[in-house]
Formats: sequence, structure tokens, C-alpha cells
Amino acid sequence: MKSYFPEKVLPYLLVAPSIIIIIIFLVYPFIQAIWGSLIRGGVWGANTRFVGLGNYVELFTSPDYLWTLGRTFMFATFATLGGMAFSLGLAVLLNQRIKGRMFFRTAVIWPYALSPVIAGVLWALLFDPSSGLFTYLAEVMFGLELNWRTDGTLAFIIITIAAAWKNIGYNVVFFLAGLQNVPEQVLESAEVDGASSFQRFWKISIPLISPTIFFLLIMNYLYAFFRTFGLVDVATQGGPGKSTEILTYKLYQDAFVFFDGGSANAQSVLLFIFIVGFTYLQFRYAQRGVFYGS
Amino acid sequence: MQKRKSLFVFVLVSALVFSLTLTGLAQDTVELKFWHAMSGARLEPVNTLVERFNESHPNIEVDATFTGSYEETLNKAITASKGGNPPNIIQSYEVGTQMMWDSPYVVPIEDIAEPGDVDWGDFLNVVRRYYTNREGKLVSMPFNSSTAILYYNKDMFSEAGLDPSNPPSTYEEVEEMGSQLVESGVARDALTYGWPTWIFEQSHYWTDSLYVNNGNGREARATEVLFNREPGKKIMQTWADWEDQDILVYGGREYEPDSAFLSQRVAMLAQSTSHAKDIVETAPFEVGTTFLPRPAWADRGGTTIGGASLYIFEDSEEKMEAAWEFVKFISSTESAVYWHKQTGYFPIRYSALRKLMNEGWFADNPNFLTAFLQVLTAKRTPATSGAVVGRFPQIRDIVDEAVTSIFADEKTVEKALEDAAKEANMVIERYNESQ
Amino acid sequence: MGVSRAKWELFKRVALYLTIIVAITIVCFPVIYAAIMSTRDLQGTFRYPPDLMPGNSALSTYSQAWNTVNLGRLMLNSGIVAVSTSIIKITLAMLAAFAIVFFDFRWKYLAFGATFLTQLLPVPVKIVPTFQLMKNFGWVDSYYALTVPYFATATGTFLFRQFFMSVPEDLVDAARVDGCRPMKFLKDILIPLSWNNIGALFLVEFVYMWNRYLWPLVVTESESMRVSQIGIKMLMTTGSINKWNIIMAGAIIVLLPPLVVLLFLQKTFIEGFVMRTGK
Repeated sequence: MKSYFPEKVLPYLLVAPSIIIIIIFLVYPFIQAIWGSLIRGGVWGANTRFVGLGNYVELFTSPDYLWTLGRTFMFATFATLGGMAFSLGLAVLLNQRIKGRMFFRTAVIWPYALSPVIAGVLWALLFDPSSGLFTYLAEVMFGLELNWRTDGTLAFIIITIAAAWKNIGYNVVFFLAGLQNVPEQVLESAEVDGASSFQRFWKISIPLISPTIFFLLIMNYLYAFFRTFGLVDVATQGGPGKSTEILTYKLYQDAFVFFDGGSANAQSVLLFIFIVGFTYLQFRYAQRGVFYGS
Repeated sequence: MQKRKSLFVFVLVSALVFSLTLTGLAQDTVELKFWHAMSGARLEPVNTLVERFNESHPNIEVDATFTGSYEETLNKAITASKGGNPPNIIQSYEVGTQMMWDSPYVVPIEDIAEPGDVDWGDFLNVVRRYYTNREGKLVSMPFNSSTAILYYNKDMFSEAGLDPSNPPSTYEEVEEMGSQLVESGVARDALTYGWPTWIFEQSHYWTDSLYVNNGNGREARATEVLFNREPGKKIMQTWADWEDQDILVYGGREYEPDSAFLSQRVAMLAQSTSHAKDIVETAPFEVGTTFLPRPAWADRGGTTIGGASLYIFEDSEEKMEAAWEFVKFISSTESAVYWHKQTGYFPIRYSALRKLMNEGWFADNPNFLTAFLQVLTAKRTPATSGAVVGRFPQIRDIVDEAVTSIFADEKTVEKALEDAAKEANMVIERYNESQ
Repeated sequence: MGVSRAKWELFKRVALYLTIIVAITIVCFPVIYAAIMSTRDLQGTFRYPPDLMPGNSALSTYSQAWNTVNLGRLMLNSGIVAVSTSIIKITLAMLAAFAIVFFDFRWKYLAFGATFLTQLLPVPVKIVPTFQLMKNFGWVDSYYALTVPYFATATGTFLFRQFFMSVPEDLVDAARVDGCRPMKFLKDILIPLSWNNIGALFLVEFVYMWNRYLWPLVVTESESMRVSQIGIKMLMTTGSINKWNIIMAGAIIVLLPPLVVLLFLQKTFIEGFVMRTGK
């Protein structure tokens, strides 16, 4: 049996600060958001009235929101899968017996320190329609005229790449840690049995690091959903058209640009439902709960 | 061990700085918060004007803050006033006009000004008309006014065998000279638009047509957009045709197209006059300017102003008086002359214009005169007063989407404008019903 | 046969290193390009076709980036916010985890569960009401708004709980037999054992707080409260042509602090965080 300290009051005092913060700054505002999603008011705060589920109905009947929802899922999926595949490849390379491994590892994980905002400006520069290097290369090599100010698909691809790129550092560290836990002997005996390196990777390493893969899948998804506002805001502002308008960007616009608090709150509540969904998956399928960030 | 120590030092230092910065500073003078959207080459002149004001008014201290783009500045101001802590003066752009008129926190400057304080007749007619509300009151103080003109690369014109002193003035000429520029291989595209939706609005006024109903929102609150009718459709169709022929290229929503012009990939740029200085100085070639080309098939109206004006927010009598002193100073003849020379925004007063002419300024800087002449020759009609409508910024976004979808060949002109009008009308209805 | 096999092995080695170097170049390239751009004058940024030649205007671009948006002040703000919040988060998390692992009290599972809410309720999920709350508290445009709502952390609580649970029972029993008071136990035994976790958590939280953008954008107004990420956005909003040289100079400056922290705490991060959470 676990042994405990006998104090009766002290533990309450110890958890109190965290709990108080959570109640005041997390739970209370969220309840307010639920209430706020049922009302509607003017730009200057006047003429507020109860509209029931009106804000939700409006969201789901306007093509806008459904479009944004679809875009966000596409964005999150591509950024997650692309970023993770590239990172796994890198991690496998770095997991070989090589000299200067520490140096290489550092050279790869540093993007962890990058902010989405910086990732956004860097890629906006590379693809600058009139003087960007990649724009030029695309023209010379493939005869393409890239202009993401007009080409929504291209803009979408660029923010996806930027988001995936920014997360390489994070993914590689975790993949490396996972790969290092794959026992050498198992791989060696498989080699003796004549398994090719591809087979060894696919049949042994992948299953053994599947918890890491799953963990990163969830983390990358959450990241793409909730942490990429800055990237979009500096690079594309949701445009051209609505091609890069992701959920958090629309939410910010409705809340602080169009001052449609009711709709913004309704979007907040819907976001909460997505997050509960992701977390449920995480608990359901991951062996242990895992956390990141805030 | 080392790590632990440095961590503690970190804590101490941060705690110290934290507590120091939290304690504010007490002051006796009237302090005013002034939020503006002027950055880049325009930041310095604004700061200079503010400094000059502070020096000449020892009992007032204006604290000028760059709060981001126009849109961001307006949003911040709305958020702050709802939060009970508004700035005293903000610079808001022309499309925020209806919203500012509706704001319970904004006090019209004509209510603050003493009669005879300012000679309103000295302000350019087109400027005064723009910021005068439906009750005939001037709500905000004109500050930086611009209009859209055409910049062109004289070197490229010569290279393509065109006369560099004879730029296009009508759509027909744009098409003619544009194809020559492209076909001769001098430019990849002939023309690009800064703020395409703004150019679209201006093109309506150029043809003496309304952009929104109820006399451009000047007679009564606008309830409907009119850009999906004539001449909007015809103008947009021309643009779409140009795009197909590589005459026109979409370069972005605001100032992004400038770089295509500056890197000599495009020979002509329709852009705000406020960039005259920036563009002329940065360009590694000779820049010419001329009136915004207009469709010759329509009546001639005139372009209206863009840019921004200064609004005073409700506060104590003392602060509002001080704020009034400040906006008066900013719009004085001397300030207007200085501001114009530094930026390219045109002077907002006839007296400033006279002064500049007497100095011989325009003889040396003919590019700076273009915008001036363009607005001075405008017909005085509701069309050239410019549209006023709620949630105009959002309507611009909607139109911008329509423009992009047309240029990307996703929608026909008819369909894109129809869809955009429908969406815009919904937005207007929603805004109006919440007032 | 032997020779060609050795050659084949050598070829494989070379190919491996080449692949690694190419991959790393891809990862690093955007920042290298940004660094090059930051040394050019404005006309140099429009050069077409573009090339990789650095310019010699670095001094002017970096000082312009620094001066036009008052980056010094913004960096100071980011630093104050990131350091103070990280430290308080770590402290609160440690205290909570300590209570949950070493005490038996009625609502411990509820308390532990409550910390999960920080993961379920990120900023966008409650942004409008939280901003309203800041207004009611009079906290808009202050350090309080930038820091206090972030003090609770699921990651930290979870990490410490996991670590504390791995502390040998004997150690706890011995401490109790010696009549060691709980807080002394925490201070003298647990904290010294936790430096790896603390360092790792500091990195995670510092990077997170430094890189935050949405909340500071909403809750700050004056220049004196702005944070460095907003500074980059301000550099982008030149109201004119994008001055890529200056924007990139700003980006590099703002990237440096978290990068330095990462380089210093990299090892701790991997040992104290990655190895514990990523399975």
C-alpha cells in the first residue's frame, strides 16, 4: 500500500492555486461562452437578444462555416501526415550509426523553437509572387507562374508546408526517442533471418513505435487546429478568397473584426467538441494519457 | 548547480522588472492616446507632427501608437471602447466611416469645435463631403487623403516602343498599350491593381455611378450594394478579359502588387497616391503617374478619396478639448504641407495647395500633382462623395473573393458579382438590424 | 568480391551522409534564406532572378527592425511574460502533483482530473468571454492578462505526478520516520531529484509562451505591452511594399531567445520530457 503524509489540510492548499486558476480562467469563461453562443448583439454591444440555437443554425446553414471546417480538416490532415512522414524519415536516418549525431540532431530539432508567426513569414518570402526564390525556381524548372495571392490552392499548400515544417523539430525528437527504444537484438535477429532493412523497419520498428506515432498524430492535429492562427494571420489572412480560412482564423475574425460575439462563441463551443473528440481518441487508443504545451 | 543558480537569477530579475513596470507614472499634463495605422515611410512624419504638437503645447502630451493596419486599428478601438478604456483619438479608414458614425463613443468634431474655430470652407470639397454625415455634420477631421492613380514604368514604355509621356487614360488605351507591352516581351503583364476592390469602387465613381443604394448611403442608411449591375458588371468583364490577355494581373489585396511593379515584371500599377514617395524613391527606373484610366463608354464622374481621418472619442471635457487642439494642429495648413511632401497623400486644404504652388513644389514633383488634379476635377454628385455602408471592410473582403474567383476562372463575372452582392446584402442587413 | 563489398559499404555510407545533409539543408534552408535576405538593402530584395548572395546592409536592416516597432521593449515583454509564467506554472504544477501523489485526500482524483481541463480548453475555445473577464478585472493591456490565465498546466502536473510516482517508497518512508515535514521533503529531496523535469518543462513552457500570438493580439493595446510575435506582424504591416529585409531581420531577432533556450536545455528536454511523455 502506498504510504502518505498524514497532513489533512495541506494537500488542499497545495492544489488550490491550480484549481482556482482553472475555475476562474477556464471553466467560468467556457460556461460564459456557452451562454454567449445563444445570444446575438450589435457591433457596439447594443441591441442584444436571445436567439436560442440561432447562431449554430446559421453556422451550419451558411456555406462559409462548412467550407472553413472542411479546409481545416484538410489542412490538419495534410500538415500532420506530411510533416510526420518527413520527420520519421529523418529520424530513421539519424538513428543510424553515424558520426556527429548530436550535431545532426540539433540541426533538425531546432524548428521546435520557431513560432508559427515566423514560419509564416519565412514561407511567404520563399514564395513571394514577384521575387521569391521558389517562385523563380518553379518558373525556370516547370514553367509555372506561381502567385499565391491569386491562387488559393497554392496558398493552401504553402501554409500546409509551413505548418508541417514548423513541427519537424518536435516530431523528430519524439520519433528518435521511440526508435531508440526498439531493441537492437530483435532487429539483429531479424537480419540474421534474412529480413531486408525495409521489412525490419516496417514489421518491427513501426509496430514498436506505434504509440509514439499515435501520440504525435494527436499532437500534430491539435497543433494544426489550435496553434496555427499566427501563421495564417501573417502569411495569408485567410485568403485569397477563403482558401486558407481555418477555424481559428474565422473565429478571430467574427469575434474581433466583425464583432459578432454570438457566432464566435458558438464556434468556440464547436471547437470544444472537436477537442473532446481528439482527447477521447487519445485516451481510448493511447496506452497512456499524454500532454503537451499549456 | 550552475543551471539552478542562473534559474534563480532569472526569477529574481524578472520579478523585479515585472513589479517595476507595473507601477505607472503620475503626470499633471493632459495625456492623450492617439492610435494610428501609419507605418513604414509614414511613421516618421506622423511622429514628427506629434512631437511638434507636444512641443508647442506643453500642457498636452500626445502618446502616438502604431496599432497595426487600418482594420486592426479600428478593431482595437472598438474593442477598447467596449472595454471602457478607449483611446482619445484614432485614425480610421474611409470604409470604417459608417461604423464610426454609429458609434456611441465617437463625438463629431463639429460638436466640439467652437463656431469660427476652423474655416471649413478651406477644406477640399471632395474631402469634406466624404466625412460629412447624413445630418450634415463633419464627424471626423480629415487627415490623410489619397486617391487611386496610375503609376507606370517610363523605361518599359520606351522599350516597348510607346511614348513615355503619353500613358493610357481610357480602358481602350490600356488595352492597346497593354497588349503592346506584353507582346513586345517587355513586361510579363501590363497592369496590376493595388487594393483591387478599392479600384473597383473608384471605377464606379469614375463613371458617376453609385456603389450602394440610397445615394451611396448619403441620403439614408444604405441597404443594398449596386455593384452587381451596370456599370459594375461591364467594368469587371473588361478586367476579366484583360486578365485573359495577360494585360492585367491580380497581385494581392493591398500593397503586395507594388513589388511586382518595382521588380519590373509589370509595367503599370494602379495604386493609392499615398505611395507616391515610396514608389518613386524605391523604383530603379523612371516612374510616371497619370489619372486612373476610365472607361470612355461611360459618363465622367470623378474618383473620391481614400485614406483616413481622425475621430475623437468621448472622454472628459478637458481631454476632448485637448484632442480637438491636436486634430486641429494636425490638419493645419503647415502640417498639411509637411505631411504631403513627406508621403504623397494630397494636401486636404486649398490654402496648403496654394502654398505648395507658390513654392514651386509641383513643378519639381509633377507626380505629386496627379492625384490632386484628379479629385479637383470630380463632378459634385453623390457618386463622387463615396459610398458609406455598415461593415464595409467585410464587404471589401467579399468583393475581393469575387475578384479572385473571376481571375482564377472559377466563376463567371455575372455569377461572382451576383453571389458577392447576395452575401454583402446579408451582411448589411445583419448590421443594420443590430443598430 | 571482398573489395566490391567494401566499396558497396562505403557507397552506402556516403549516400547516407549525403541524404542526411540534403534533408537537413531542406529543414534549415528557410532560415538561412531569411538570414541572407536580412543583410540586403531594399532594392536587393526585389532582385530578379533571386540568388543567394548576402548584401552588406545588415547593420541598417537589423537596427531598422529593432527601432521601427520598438523591438527591444517587445522582447523584454515577451521575456518577462515567458519567464515568469513558466516559473509559476512549474511551481503550481509541482505543488499540485506533490499533493496528488504524496497525500490521501478526498478530492484528489477530481483535482487531478480538473487539470486536464487546461488541455480541453485552449484559448480559442473561450476567447470572447475570457477577454470580457479581463475587461471586468481591468486587466486589458497589462501583464496580468498576458500571464495569469495561463498559470495552470496539465502537462506539468502530469509530468511531475509521473515522476513523483517513480520515487522509491523507501525514500518516503524513511523521510516520514525521521519526522520530516512534507514541505521539507519536497524542498530537500524531491526538487533536487526533479531538475531534469524542471528544465525540460521550462523549455516547453518558455517556447510556448514566447511564441504565443493570438491571445496577446487580442488583449494588448499599447505599444508598451506588445510582445515580440506581434512585432513581426507589425513589420509585415508596413502599409506599403513588404520590406523583406527588415521583416527577416526582425524574425531572426525574435527567433533567437527560444533557440538559445532550446540549445541549452536540449538534453534535459529529451531526458526529462520526451522520454517521459512520448510513449
